[in-house]
Amino acid sequence: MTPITKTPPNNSILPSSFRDPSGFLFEESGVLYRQINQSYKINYDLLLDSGLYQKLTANQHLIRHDEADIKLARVGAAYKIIRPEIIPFISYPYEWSFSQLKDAALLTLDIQLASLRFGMGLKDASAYNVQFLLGKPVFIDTLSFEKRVLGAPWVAYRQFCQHFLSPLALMSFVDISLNQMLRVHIDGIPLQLASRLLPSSSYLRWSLLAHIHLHAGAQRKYSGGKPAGTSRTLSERGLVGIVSSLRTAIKKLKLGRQKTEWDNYYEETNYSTSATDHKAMIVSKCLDMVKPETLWDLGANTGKFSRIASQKKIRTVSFDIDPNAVENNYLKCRTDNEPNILPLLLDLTNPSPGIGWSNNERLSIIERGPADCILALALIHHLAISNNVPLVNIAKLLSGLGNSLIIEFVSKQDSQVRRLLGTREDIFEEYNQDSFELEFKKHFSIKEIFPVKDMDRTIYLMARNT
Amino acid sequence: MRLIQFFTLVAISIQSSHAYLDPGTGSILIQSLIAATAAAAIVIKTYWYRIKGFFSKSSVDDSTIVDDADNKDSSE
Repeated sequence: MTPITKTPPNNSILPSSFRDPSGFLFEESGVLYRQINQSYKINYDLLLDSGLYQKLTANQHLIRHDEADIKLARVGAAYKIIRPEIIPFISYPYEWSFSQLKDAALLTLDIQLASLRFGMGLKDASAYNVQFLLGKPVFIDTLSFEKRVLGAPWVAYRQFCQHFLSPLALMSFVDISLNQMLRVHIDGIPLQLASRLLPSSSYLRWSLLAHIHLHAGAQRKYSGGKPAGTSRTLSERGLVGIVSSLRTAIKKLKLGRQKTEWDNYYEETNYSTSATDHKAMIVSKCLDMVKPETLWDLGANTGKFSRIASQKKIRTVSFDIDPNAVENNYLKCRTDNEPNILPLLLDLTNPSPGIGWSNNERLSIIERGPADCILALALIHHLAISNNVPLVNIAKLLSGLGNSLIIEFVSKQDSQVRRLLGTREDIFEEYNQDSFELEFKKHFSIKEIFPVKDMDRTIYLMARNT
Repeated sequence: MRLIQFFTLVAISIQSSHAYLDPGTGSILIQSLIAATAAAAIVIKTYWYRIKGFFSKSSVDDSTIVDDADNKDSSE
């Protein structure tokens, strides 16, 4: 089996780090480095010498880094080269659940507060500066800190509101799926748009009235430039007040009970415990045979089977289309302190595309692969029957996502498939086990076949063809 | 919109910090208003904690005060 590998040019600058002139990320020989330019020297030195770096890394709020050889420097006037700790899987805010985005927001505010105490501040507050490492959000941009200029406002205040407060308020007040607007608005949801979409009840909450509605009004009124007025500056106390007020706004946002399609999946299925246990045993056995380092569980729901992998210390990304399922999965990770599982939102029929400048500022899901192993349980019938995707297309997609595949074939006799076909004409003649094997054999070799006890289902272990 | 016009009275002139993000004039104005009210809440809380601390001999850090300002705010 030949692993699929991406071969970026050896000294490539990452397309996600071009906006900030303080430096950029680049890759050399498979190692990720960050160049820090001379223009950022004062701020970098202050970050390290003030003790802020030590404080933030000690509590895992900021990514750790080592300094590397300056000879690795690329273009421009380099001051330092650093090698940050690696994030195994990069995820984006439109793939996070409500609580993931909320935790990322609170982390950003904690960092801003700590920075103020050390005479610094965050110069940007992008949600893309936060990633999930070992189950917890961590701030990854070492170049976001700058020396505080006496009297200056928080320059990233608007960005914070757009990246965090707007989507969280919309998810809380309108619909849980509205974080998807971040796919369209790469610099966060514009406040005037959020203000128009939020219901009038949001005006009754001071924190949202101020940070979204009045903020949007002020933007509209002064879009032409600075008005004449008396001079005034923001004290440190005022800046702490802003953080405090934003914390209130964020912490008060709750996800009301919004019913979604799959959030009760395990409760609503009629499979016996012994069948589910048998299925878990098969998955465990397959994982022991493949021994993957990374696994993507597609259609993971709340992560029941992902946890078989994560408990074997396999770094598992637990994808599901249902925002409530992903939310519940994340809450479980948080409660149980699970380091090896990352729940994310993904619609496999319309997966995260490459977005931003040149379509590659934020990567598509396929570009972030392949995983060592793909787990696709109770998925194929939804793709083939609910979404009319031919088996040939499913086999092709999955062969691009992983080097091994554990996949469950769900026959037409299965109760779930019968339910899917109950309301529509059965136009799926090719949906049978023979065609399934035929199409998948074009991309994979079948290693093992396990019929699941008491179920019209079969689990296959496959390896991608060389 | 009268409120927004009121902000003009407390408009601020900010020293340049070579920021690569545009903070936005409207955002600066609203920030100054919120900062004033939120900072006042923190000052009140700080004194309250000092008084409480005097009697209970317990110490309080900044994040508690910031959090507590939240709690005060959340009772609106």
